[in-house]
Amino acid sequence: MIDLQGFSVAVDADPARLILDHVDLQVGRGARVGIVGESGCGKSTLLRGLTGLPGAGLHVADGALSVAGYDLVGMPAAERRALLGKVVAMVPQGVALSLTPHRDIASHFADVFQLDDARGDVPGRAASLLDEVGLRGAAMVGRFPHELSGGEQQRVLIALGLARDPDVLLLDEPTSALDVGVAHDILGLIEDEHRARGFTLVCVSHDLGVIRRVAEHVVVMNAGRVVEQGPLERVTAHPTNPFTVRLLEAAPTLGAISTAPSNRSPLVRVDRLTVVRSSASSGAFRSQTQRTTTALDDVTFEVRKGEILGVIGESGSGKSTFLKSLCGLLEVSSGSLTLGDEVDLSVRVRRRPGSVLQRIQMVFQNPDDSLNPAHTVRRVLSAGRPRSEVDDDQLAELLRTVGLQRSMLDRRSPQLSGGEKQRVAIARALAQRPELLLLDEVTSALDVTVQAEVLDTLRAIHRDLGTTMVFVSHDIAVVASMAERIVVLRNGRLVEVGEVADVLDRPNDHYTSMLVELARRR
Amino acid sequence: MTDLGRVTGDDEVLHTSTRRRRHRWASLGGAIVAAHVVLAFVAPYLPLQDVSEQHSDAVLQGASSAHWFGTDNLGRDVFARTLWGGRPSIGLAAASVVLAALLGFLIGTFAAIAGGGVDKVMMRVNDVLLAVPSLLVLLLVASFIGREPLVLIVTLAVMYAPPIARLVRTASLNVLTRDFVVAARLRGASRWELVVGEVLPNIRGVVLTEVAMQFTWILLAFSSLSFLGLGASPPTPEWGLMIAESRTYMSITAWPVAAPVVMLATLVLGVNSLVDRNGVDGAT
Repeated sequence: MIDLQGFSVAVDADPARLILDHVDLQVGRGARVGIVGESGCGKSTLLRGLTGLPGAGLHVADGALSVAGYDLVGMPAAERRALLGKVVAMVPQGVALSLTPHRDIASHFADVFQLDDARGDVPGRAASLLDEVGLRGAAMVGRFPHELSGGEQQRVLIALGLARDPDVLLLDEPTSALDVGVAHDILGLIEDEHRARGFTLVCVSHDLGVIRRVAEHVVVMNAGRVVEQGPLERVTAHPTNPFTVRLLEAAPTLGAISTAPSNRSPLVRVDRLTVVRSSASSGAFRSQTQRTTTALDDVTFEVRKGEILGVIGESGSGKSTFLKSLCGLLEVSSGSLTLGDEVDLSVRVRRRPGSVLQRIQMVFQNPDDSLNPAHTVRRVLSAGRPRSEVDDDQLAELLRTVGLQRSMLDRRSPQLSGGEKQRVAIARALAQRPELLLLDEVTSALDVTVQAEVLDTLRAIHRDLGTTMVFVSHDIAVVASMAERIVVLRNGRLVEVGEVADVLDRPNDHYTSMLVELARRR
Repeated sequence: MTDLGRVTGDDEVLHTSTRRRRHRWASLGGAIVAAHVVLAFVAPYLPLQDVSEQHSDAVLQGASSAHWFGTDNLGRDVFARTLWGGRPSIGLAAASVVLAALLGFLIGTFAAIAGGGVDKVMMRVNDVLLAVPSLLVLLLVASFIGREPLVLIVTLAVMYAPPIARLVRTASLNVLTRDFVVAARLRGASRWELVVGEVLPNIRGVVLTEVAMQFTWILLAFSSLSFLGLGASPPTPEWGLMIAESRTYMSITAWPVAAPVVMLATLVLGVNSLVDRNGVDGAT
């Protein structure tokens, strides 16, 4: 069905630079192929290349591509346009960006149907496709993308991909922006559709768990080359390429669990904490209207001195709200939040004295957002201190703690990789010598191998400095590998709190057991 | 992320050729603006003919070796007057735009940081100022208060600050939501430190672009004022005034009108293409 021979893609501006370097790939009819690799390895380019259109600024430099007998690269654009969606259809990455915000769902389908010149009953046909992907189609066609949840949008995108009954369906990171439970359902849908329609499936993901679910044949890519490919069981059980080995080892699994030393004294007491967040919308001539949501609802637990406390939950569970309340970025509605024996943390950040501020520091989720792009690393690390007090040796020592070289001092964040940015952000927090380090999904934007390295760095810091950490993540495997105790939040409520081993082995709540179950399957 | 990945981010690849083209435009614009500024500076030291000396025997002549751009209706040398004519406009517009930028920055960042009611009131006042035709205000001020440079500079600055203030506010709000600002708050940075240390470096590019655009508007506003007889006063050589004085004689010779028009137009175009680069590079 798909035959790639020495397929190479180069950058227009610099034809010597190959994004894909002589890729060979043969896929039979109805096969399920998973392409896995880290960001920048060329896996998305390969997927786009299968449509004959490698992307803006790129061109096919060498090799042959045949999909269902068609040479999609060589043919005129108009001819290819007629075949896209029919021979090969793409379900793009980036749920939020892939549907046009001002157009309803039906009109997205109209675009696709129009290619067949058989428009007919667009809403009806769209609705039946949407029904097929598990949505209530009739109600959905008239709605706009922003009225849909992430999972619903992903289903719409899959339905659009299936609209012309393609021979080959390409999926680019189908679940990367979704909560675990939703992702699980989407992968189930993909399996069902493949069984029912028998198309050839090519799925790209950075997540081995996803590939394990949907693929029977795995292609491992690194730096534009296919480093290993073969049947799923063979590659995952007996990898031959060192990069594959590294990738498999780095993937977080529910494995070794550290146990908490008992009778530690509490550092932060969270007592019946409730945080109501309001989103005020107002105009000059309208009175203010407020929508309020209870982001944290009567939550009680404690953070113990010197421990790593894992906080887990999906989007909207209140885990970020908890961190923001600790920092004084949000108003505490009721209940209390105490640091040590005396300090009241319901005081907002502006009113907190410097000595309290310094005790709690935070590292953020998005590496691209957490460092000022205009500042050098030196300035980031020495911010807030008089110039005379800071010397390079001190800063270099700080960088060493997070596994970076002194030469980084003169760089700015656009010159750093994602992992390096997060390390600098950790160093910035450590520069304040905090007692409590808040880590908000600090590795979720990183590649698995980079994630493993950053987690190791954090463990080393915890071991050497004994800093108390609150580690927030949606990934229970990552949390379990870091934390000694775990807090599970759902819809603003405390679902479970306890030692990691207890929570994993004897979950009290069906939500926790689902998370554990899904993580075990990876 | 590997090196390969970093250099092939879609954004970078996509814009390489556009960026190169715009850089060429920007250098051309920079050269034009630099030429204008240098000419305005050195005009008094060049061996030019006297700008106000009248030659009653040689009025409204075309270009010749004696008068490169010909003469106007009073027999004054148009070439000399054209080179001198940028001095009042460029100087006054530059002074006004610096003041306008300062005002705009202070108002914009203050509104962004204060938020709530203060922000709302400030922005509505800003909107009112935006809605008032600036030329009308200039005419009124020049007629009733005076046409001294200082008065004009302050008036122009006040009238052209609102768009800058609005842009500064929007851009600042964008930056203020980012995590590195939160990080600075958590370390106890003051509001002033946030504005100068965290926000300013990230909005510099887009704000400078806007300021440069406002410079061209102020330049044209002042020339219009002179054209209407309320800016520079005769016999000062000034582009707007030169156009006004000579337009009735255009059927005889176009030089006295064409020369200042070309100068004004090239300066505005030069500034516009110069700031195009900022649009590409942003803050970096």
